[in-house]
Amino acid sequence: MSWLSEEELLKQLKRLEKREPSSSFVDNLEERLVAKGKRLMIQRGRGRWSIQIASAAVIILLTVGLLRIEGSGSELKPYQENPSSAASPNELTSPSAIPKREDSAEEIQQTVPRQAETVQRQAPVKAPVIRKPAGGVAPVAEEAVQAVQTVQAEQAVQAKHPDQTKKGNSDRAALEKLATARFEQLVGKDEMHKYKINEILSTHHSQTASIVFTRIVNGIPYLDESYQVGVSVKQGVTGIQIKADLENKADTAVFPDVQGILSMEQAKQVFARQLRLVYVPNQVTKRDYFGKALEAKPTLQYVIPGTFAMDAKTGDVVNPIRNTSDQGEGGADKGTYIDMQAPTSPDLDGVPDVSEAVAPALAAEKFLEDSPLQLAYVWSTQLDQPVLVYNRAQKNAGGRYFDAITGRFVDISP
Amino acid sequence: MQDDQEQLIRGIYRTYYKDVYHFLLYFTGDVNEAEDLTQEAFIRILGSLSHYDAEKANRKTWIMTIAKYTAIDHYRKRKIQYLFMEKWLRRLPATDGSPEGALDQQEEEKLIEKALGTLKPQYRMVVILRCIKGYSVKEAAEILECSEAKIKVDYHRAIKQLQQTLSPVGNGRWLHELVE
Repeated sequence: MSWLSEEELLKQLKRLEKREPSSSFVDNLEERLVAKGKRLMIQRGRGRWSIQIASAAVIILLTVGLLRIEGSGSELKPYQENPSSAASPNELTSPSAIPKREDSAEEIQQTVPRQAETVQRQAPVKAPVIRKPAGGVAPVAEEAVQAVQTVQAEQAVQAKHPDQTKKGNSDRAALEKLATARFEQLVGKDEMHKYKINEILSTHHSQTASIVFTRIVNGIPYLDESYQVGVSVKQGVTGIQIKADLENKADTAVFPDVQGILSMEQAKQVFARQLRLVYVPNQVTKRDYFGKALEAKPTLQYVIPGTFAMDAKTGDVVNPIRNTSDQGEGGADKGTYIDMQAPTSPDLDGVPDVSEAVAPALAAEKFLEDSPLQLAYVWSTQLDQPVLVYNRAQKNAGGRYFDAITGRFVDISP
Repeated sequence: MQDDQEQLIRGIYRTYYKDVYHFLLYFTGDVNEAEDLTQEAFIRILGSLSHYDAEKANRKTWIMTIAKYTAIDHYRKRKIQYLFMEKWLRRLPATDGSPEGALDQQEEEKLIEKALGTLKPQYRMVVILRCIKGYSVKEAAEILECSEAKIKVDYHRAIKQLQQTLSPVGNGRWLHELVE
């Protein structure tokens, strides 16, 4: 290679573009940004909420003030009508009432107290009236009433339509249709019958969705051939991720049949037995925007090693269990395994009592509510043939742990 | 609303993370720093998202401008170290020659990366945007907030400098310290 050749140099430089950041960094940062975005929204929402409350308070005060003025009409009448009053209403703003520069000091002294006296006697309370003495009363009241009515009307509308179920359903259908159309373009109309939307892996939000199409073999999803289509009501198709069998091995492979497999209930029981109670002495419970740990405390956690998968026929768990929780869901970086047969807390200060931990069955239920089990074919590169497994789709892994004392997932993402 | 926001953030991130990362990687020459700065850049992007005006700037150039400022801020903080590194690299030609063929692709890439680090920041940014990321002159000019003519001149000079840095030093010797 000649370094002096510009062409060669440019070719080498262009090659640098292929260098990829680590996937863990990319994924982690994405989740952090999303979490931060949510936090920002909440903060901005609080700011807006404070402004709205302040505005509402001002409106209410103005309205109450005006009503009180109207209620005390007898006090106002002299102000408006009594010709014998020392100063007319206009006197407050009349140019004649304002002392001119060339006026003598005595005149100024006489004028100013008279104005103050007028204000005190004729409009003793109301700052709004002083600010808008002429013609300002009615518009302010109207504005206040209109604003209150608007808020009430909005609240009434919201109360009448607390959920947008119908719209949500139509959006969902529309998003699925959009994703299906794009997917059809991708695989071709003739191939469409091989795939189905995987409801367990797909996620739906009000305006967006991530629709996963999985190849179906023997009526069972074959997860290693899945296409994830991101769609948005506003933006259309936002992205596609493909996990495809490029060699079409699935066309000729022998997929195990479903005869003699364990039932879903049995699979759930096996799953529950995989849960491990661990003691984590320094579980981070709060992070800053950059993911730096701010707070930590000793915790008891239930963890599940890796992504749970068990052979549907033999019941063998694919993921091996280790005595620490460093590989499992729940966010426990370091954990000390606690023997479930005779659980005892480590003899340290501040450690939650093991006897207060929720039962493993309850924890398992929560884990599966969060991400259910599904019967599926998988085909890892180490295997000659696909395997039928019960596995658990982890939609919400990372950035949290399952607190064994409260029986809930705790979010620790920044 | 929150879902829209999430989708927007994910969309922007997935579309531009490589551009931002590469820009910062080849600007700093360090993977760890590039990761930190990529995070910082995207947090800045997130914070400014509500102020972004699509009519005023293309989203890509807007994002890369933020990445540029992230890099510049970092450079200012680390200027002393950078200057030291540049001098060090220039002063230490390798004593042992390394035949062309012996350099495998990975080594060549390392060599180029380190040579990039010897360019002054403005040139480095032009090379990253134009040569590595393939941005147009107009886009590079928008991101670096200078004229297209300046981009062309800087590009030309940067390439010449790179060629000089990467050329054999007398008797077939290489600036082998760039390799490691």
